Amino acid sequence: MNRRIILALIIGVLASLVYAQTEVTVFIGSRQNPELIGSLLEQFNAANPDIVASYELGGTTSEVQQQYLNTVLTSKSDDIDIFLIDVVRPATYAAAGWAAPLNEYFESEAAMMEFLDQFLPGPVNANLIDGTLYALPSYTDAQFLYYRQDLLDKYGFEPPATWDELMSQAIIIMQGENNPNLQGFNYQGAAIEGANCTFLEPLWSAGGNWRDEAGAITVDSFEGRRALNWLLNTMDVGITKPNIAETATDNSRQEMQAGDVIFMLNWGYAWGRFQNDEDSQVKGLIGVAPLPSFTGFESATCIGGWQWAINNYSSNKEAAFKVLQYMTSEDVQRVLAAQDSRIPARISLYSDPEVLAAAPHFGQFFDVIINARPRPVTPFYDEVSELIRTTVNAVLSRSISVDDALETMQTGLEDIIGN
Amino acid sequence: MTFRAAYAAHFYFMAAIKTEKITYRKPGFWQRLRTGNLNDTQLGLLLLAPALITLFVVMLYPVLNVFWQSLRGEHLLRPWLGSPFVGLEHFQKILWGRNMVWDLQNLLSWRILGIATLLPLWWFAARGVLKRWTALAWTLTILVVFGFLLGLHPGDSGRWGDARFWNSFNITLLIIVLSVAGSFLVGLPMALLANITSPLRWLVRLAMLLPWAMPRVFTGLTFAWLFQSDYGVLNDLLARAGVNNLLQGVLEPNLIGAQGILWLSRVVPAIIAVNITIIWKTSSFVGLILLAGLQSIDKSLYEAATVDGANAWQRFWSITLPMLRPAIAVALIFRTLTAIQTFDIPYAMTRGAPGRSLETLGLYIYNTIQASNIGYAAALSVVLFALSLGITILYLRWIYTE
Repeated sequence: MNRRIILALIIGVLASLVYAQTEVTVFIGSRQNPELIGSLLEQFNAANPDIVASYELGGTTSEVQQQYLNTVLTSKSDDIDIFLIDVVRPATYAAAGWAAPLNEYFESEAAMMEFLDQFLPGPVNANLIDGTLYALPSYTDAQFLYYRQDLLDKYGFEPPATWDELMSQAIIIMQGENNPNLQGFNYQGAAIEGANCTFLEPLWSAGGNWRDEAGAITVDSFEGRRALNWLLNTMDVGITKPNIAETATDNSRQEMQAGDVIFMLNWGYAWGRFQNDEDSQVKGLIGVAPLPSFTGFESATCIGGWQWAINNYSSNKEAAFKVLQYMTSEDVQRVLAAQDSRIPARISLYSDPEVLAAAPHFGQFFDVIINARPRPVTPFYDEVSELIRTTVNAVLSRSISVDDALETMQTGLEDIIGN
Repeated sequence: MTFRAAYAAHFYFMAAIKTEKITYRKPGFWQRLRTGNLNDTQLGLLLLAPALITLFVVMLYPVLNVFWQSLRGEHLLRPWLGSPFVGLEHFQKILWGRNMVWDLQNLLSWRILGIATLLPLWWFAARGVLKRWTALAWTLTILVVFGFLLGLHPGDSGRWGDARFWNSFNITLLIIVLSVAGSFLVGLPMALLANITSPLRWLVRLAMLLPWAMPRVFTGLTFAWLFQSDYGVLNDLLARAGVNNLLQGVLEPNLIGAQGILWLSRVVPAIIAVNITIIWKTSSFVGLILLAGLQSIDKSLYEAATVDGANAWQRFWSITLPMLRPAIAVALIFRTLTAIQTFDIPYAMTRGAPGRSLETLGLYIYNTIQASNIGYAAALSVVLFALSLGITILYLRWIYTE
């Protein structure tokens, strides 16, 4: 009896060697709809009998997913072939040698650029490091200016194009409504990841950036001062509540959903909650617009979203790239957009009838998302982000002055980048 | 087959030993173990072995590993650096700063002065005039003071050491002072109350046990909601009681909004809020230990004092407090050690915000690990370990000398 089983096993192993199927393991987080990803992978397996793709789950937040991958990748494990990473990570992965360069899978540089033209420029720029492609976008996200359409209509305003307009509209509406709970402008002031965007967006829309073309840090500048002063100014004139330093992403969303906010900066997920949640006081009353800018400068917003990359230690990179191509294909992104409200990274999907039928607001999102810029693209993103968000939080809690904050960020960033 | 043969041979061998037909060598350890002929020391060691091995694996090894890691520059997000041996570089960065400059001239002059101070000290110590411990303490103090003076300049960055470390050091120190003092101020009356014989004593004891039994992160989250400045319970109560309006005239306008004090988004209120939470959480622990101390005090002492005409205050001051001393010392050590390691409550309440004003040492270490800077985090842990050890030694000496 035992011998028979062993014989069967040996035959099985031999057979599997003859009909070799390459196994590809895909790593995703539990928030990223594993059931849907699983069914997409099954479709892929049915169409590609030589590859068996399956997914592995880990982590509920970007940080936990990152920690898991850290462990796997520092031990140079090939257990995972493809992973989904946050848009702020590709530079780190490139520098660490964790993500496989994808250039070689294209016939030529020109063919690659042509392929990338199908995607939004923001995510592509985050994945393209010094001309080398390290990841392909799965879906994207950005910060939007959400506004109360009904209140703007009531006072005869168009969505504001500049920060000053936003301020004056908010003041007039707050005075007119005379509602003590009504906030003019709400954003993320808590020391969370989003606070980077809270600082970078006004900085960019004042024509500045965290560093210049040559790589020198330029936070301690006129533009940096203008950005932080604008944020403090919103509190001084009273359109932003004094404890904005406590406000995290979902607090903003809840407050606007309760009908207490006129203008808010937030990510794409908020729209669906406003329209679909049972307790929403603002169903059908919310509009979306590109972020305002300072007069004479262009609007800019922070990009979010997730990217597919190949593990550099993987032993099946060829097969992994096939899965990668499939996961970033138009068909898959259409399914993700229509069934999971993921904002597509492919430009064509913004005019796709199936997508627009399921998520009509994506049409409006396009104008904003086309201007989205990556947060600092650097291998030291974690440290950069920690420094910026705690310093911005310190300014908003009025524990340090704008000048001190800019100096802290300037010298701190120079220390980190110079390492 | 071979196994069966060996088994049979073993049987005959054992039988032979038992009947003492062959005595060709002194029985070895395993043999004596098998026959139950171990002496007390050996048996003791044997029985302790599982505990010792477990202790080594789960306690000593990680601690030694942290020490080893602190000497290496491992950074998970910079794998191209590997994990090189960097010696004391991390500690130099923490305490003095990365860009330390040595000034030779200064160095020479201060070194001479330093040695000139140390020599007589050691001479006195050798003659037995000074106690060895005292001499050691003075030597360390002098070394630290002269270390700073020995031409160590802050260098290009214009600051001493890791500013973030010193910031977290200061806030940790502040939390130690405020929360330990606070938990005694609340814990002692609680213990006295629970010690009174009354039918409602169980209520007081229950109230004492509740905060003690609550997980710290849960406490932090709950209090963060109580202190929330827009819709928190505390500000609502203050507003209802009219205190809010009163405060609005007194406090700096920056600290107070329309709904009340901005507890968690301004530095001073946040420090107060976090300390109140820690005191709420820990005073019951102090109370429980002091209660145990109170119950061990002999009642006849009070009777004698009452007969002698001592009033309640005199009885408390001259009997209760001195007799409580051992209990106070125990509570003090445990409270101080947990206060040095403060992490959960500031983490749950504000994650170290506003800015980094509530980033305690524990939180700084946590954040450094989060940033994948393993080597530096290990060095910070060693500094924290040294601080805890130093404070424990001071307390122990204080207890055993008096």
